Formats: sequence, structure tokens, C-alpha cells
Amino acid sequence: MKSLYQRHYCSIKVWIKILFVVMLWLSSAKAHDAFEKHCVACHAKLPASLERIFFNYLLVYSSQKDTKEAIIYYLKSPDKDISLMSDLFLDTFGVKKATKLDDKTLKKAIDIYWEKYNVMDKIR
Amino acid sequence: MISKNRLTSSLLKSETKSLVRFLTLYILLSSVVIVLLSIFYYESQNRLVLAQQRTLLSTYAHEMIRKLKRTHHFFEESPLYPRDSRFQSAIYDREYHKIFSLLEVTKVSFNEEIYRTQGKLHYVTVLDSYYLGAKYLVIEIEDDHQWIKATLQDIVVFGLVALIVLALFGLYLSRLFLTPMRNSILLLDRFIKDTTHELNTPLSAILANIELMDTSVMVEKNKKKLHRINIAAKTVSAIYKDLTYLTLEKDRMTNEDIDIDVGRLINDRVEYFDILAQSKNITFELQLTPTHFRMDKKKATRVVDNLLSNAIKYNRRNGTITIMLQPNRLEIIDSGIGIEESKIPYIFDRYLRFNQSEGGFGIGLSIVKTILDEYRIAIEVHSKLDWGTQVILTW
Repeated sequence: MKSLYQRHYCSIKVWIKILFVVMLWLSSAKAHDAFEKHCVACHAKLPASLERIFFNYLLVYSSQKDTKEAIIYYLKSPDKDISLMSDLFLDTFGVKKATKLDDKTLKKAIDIYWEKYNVMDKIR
Repeated sequence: MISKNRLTSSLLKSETKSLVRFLTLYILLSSVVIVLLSIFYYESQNRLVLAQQRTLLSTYAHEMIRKLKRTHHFFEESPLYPRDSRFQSAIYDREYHKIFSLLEVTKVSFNEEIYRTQGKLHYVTVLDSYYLGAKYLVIEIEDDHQWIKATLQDIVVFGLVALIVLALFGLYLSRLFLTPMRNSILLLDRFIKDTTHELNTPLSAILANIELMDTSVMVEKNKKKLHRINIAAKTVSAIYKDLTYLTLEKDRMTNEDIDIDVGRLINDRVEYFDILAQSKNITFELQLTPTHFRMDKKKATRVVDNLLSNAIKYNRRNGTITIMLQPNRLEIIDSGIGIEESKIPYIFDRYLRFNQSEGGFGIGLSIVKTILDEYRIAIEVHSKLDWGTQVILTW
């Protein structure tokens, strides 16, 4: 027979787990929201797809680490000189504004971006 | 003028030893040089083959890069990795993480451009533009082992030929180096031969006249003097006989083998040397079983004379010499100064004398060994310092 204390202890553990999963889901959803809201929404209006931009980064930075770092750096400090887009594109659409997303959300959004387009899982 | 005879043309033990040592060292060093040259040749062949393969693999790599470029730009439509039946390939990103691989040998060395691994040949090339994120492209083909067989065959054949040529050259060189030593021995032989001729007449005259002298009319003082002259003459005579054998008899091709009563021969020779033994107050103890042996009498006499002469020469005053003759065995044991155990293997070498205080040329035991070898008689020498020497002949 379990004591009252033990039963309470077990139910607290279950609740903590549930809380943790919910927080994780919320965080993921937030990041996903951030990617959808702050990336996809804007790029949908542009002629250059997110996939094409991803391949441009891949062509220059090769690895996952370098590519992610380069994207984050550009999003925080956009500059015509370091942009991978063509001059025609930049002249037409200009350089984007610096992101206002916090680092954690930005990182998670970029992780989603990488997972969505990375070559390793898709090439066959 | 130095002439060679059968004895001197054969190599001396010390000469053979020097020759063997030199040749061993020479062949060892030659082998090391040949092995090093073989390694160098193998490596150069390896590099040559790799250089030939590099051209082909470089072409494959260029074709592959072109296909990767196309895949990169049309990845959304066709995410298929380009394949080629002539080779396998793989792509890796800047941090050496595998992007995609068709390699059979997955372990890749990014530090080398071209290398062999587990029966495959890998060619690693760095892309200027990282299509699909690939910085490194690895091309893999089957390694052709034919060149290894051909190279090893060349190494074995040419290596052996070189070794044989070098060994022959070494033999020639060593003989060239040993010539001065050989010439010295030839000179010594020549000198002994000439001296022997000159000794014959005066020695025969001395011995004959001693025999003819009437001692009954001599005063005691003169008798003693004559006795001493007789001992000295017999000593010189023994040396003379050895030298005669060495320089003249040895070259005689045929033996006059007769049935010898060994016991009687020993008795005769003991009687002959008795006067010498008496001078050191040495006594003979004879245990002679009647034994016969077929042999050239002059040679048998030389053997017994030399063994007895040594037993007397190296014995102490008031010592004994025991001679035991059994069928197939003769033992001569003296109570003399003995020989160091380490020197026993060298006692049969010519011109080798361990005791400089006694006279002689160091040829006696060399003659004994030559004669015994000719008649297949085994000789054993056991000796201990200050105890004596035991010589055993068995046949």
C-alpha cells in the first residue's frame, strides 16, 4: 500500500513532466511561429525562395555550423556587402532590416530553417 | 720468387676466419644497401603509378563536380546524387561531416590527395564552390595490384643478381687484401724449405759420428759432453724430419702403406727419445696391447715422434709419460705444464706456439693433424694447466 505522501509525490512528478512537455511544445511552437511569421511571411512576397537562399548559403559556407552562424550574423547585421543575393535583387528589394527577435528564438527559427532544407536527409 | 705448393695454396684457419668475417660484414652491408634501394625503387614505382592514376581520377572528379553543380541548382526537382559506373564517390562538408557517400571503404584521409586503402584507391579533391555544401569530393576506384607483382619480381631478380655480383666482388677484394698475409706465409715456407736442404748434410754427419764414437775410451767428463751433443742432435733431427715432411714428403702423392705393429713402433720411438727424456728425468709408463694398423710408416713415425716430443718438451722434471695402446685407441698422457682450455682448438694451427720458452717452429701438431685426417684417425686433446695433457687417438 502506498502512503499518502508517496501518492502525492508521484502525482507531482507526473505534473512536472506534463508541464515540461507543454513548455517544450510552447517553445517549439513559438520558434515555429517565429520562423513562419518572421521568415516565411516576408519571403513569400519576394521572388527569391527561402530554399534558393539556403542553397546560396550552402554554396559558400558548406557546413551546418558555419551556415547557421552566417545566417544569424546577417539577420542581426544585414549589409549589402555580405549579402549573398544578386546586385539586381538588392537594388530592387533593398537590404532587409535587422531582426528584433531574441537570440534564443532566432536560433530556434534558424534550426527549423536548416532542418527544412538541409541536403543530408534528402539527397538519395 | 714465391712458389705455391699444395700446402700453402690452401687457406690457413686464420685466413679463412678473416675471409669469412670480411665477407659476412660485406654481404650484410650490401644487403642493407640493396634493401634500401629496393624500398626506394618500390616507392618510386608506387608514386609513378599514383601519378598515372591521378590524371584519370582528376578527370572523374571534374565530371563529378559538374554533375554536383547541376544537382545543386536543381535539387528541388531532382535530389538524386550523381552516380557513375566507373567509380564510387562521396561528398563531405567543411567540417568533414559526410553529406552523402557511395564509398565501399568509408574511412577517408583528408590530408592526402591520393592514397591506397584496403584494396581501393582514393582521390580527394577540394571544391572551389561548395555545391550541396560539399567541400571535399572523394573518388574511389579499385586498386590494380599488377604493378606490385611486377615491381616485387624486379626487386627479387635484380636484388639477387646484385647480391651475387657484390659477393663475387667482395671475394675478389678479400683475396686481394689477404695477399700480403699469404705472401708472408709463402716466404716463410720457402725459407724453411731452403734451410732444410742446408741442414741435411751436417746433421747426418753429426749423428753418424756420434754413433761411431767409442765411448769406452772416453773420460767421464767427455762422455757427458757427448751425451749432451747426442740429445741436441736428436732434437735438431726431430725438427729436421718435421721440416722435411712439411716441405718435401707432404707433396708426395702416394703413400707406401704397410701393416705396422703399433706397439713395436712406439717402443722404438720411446727408445729413440729416451735419451731426451732422461735429460729431464722423465719416466715412461707403457701399457701396450699388440695392435696393428695399415699406414705409411714414415707418417706413422712422424705422428708418434711429434706426440712424444711434445710430451717430453712440455713435461716437468721428474715427470711421467703414460702411453696406453689398446686396439683402436692410443693414449699419451704427460704430467706437464698443460694448455689453457681456450687455446686447445688452435693447437693444430701452423706456426702457433703457446710456450715461447721451448724451441720449435709450431709445425709438429699441424703435421700430426694433417696425417691423422688423411687416415681418418680422430684426435682428442684434454688438458689442464699444471696437471698435464692427455692426447687420445681413435680409429
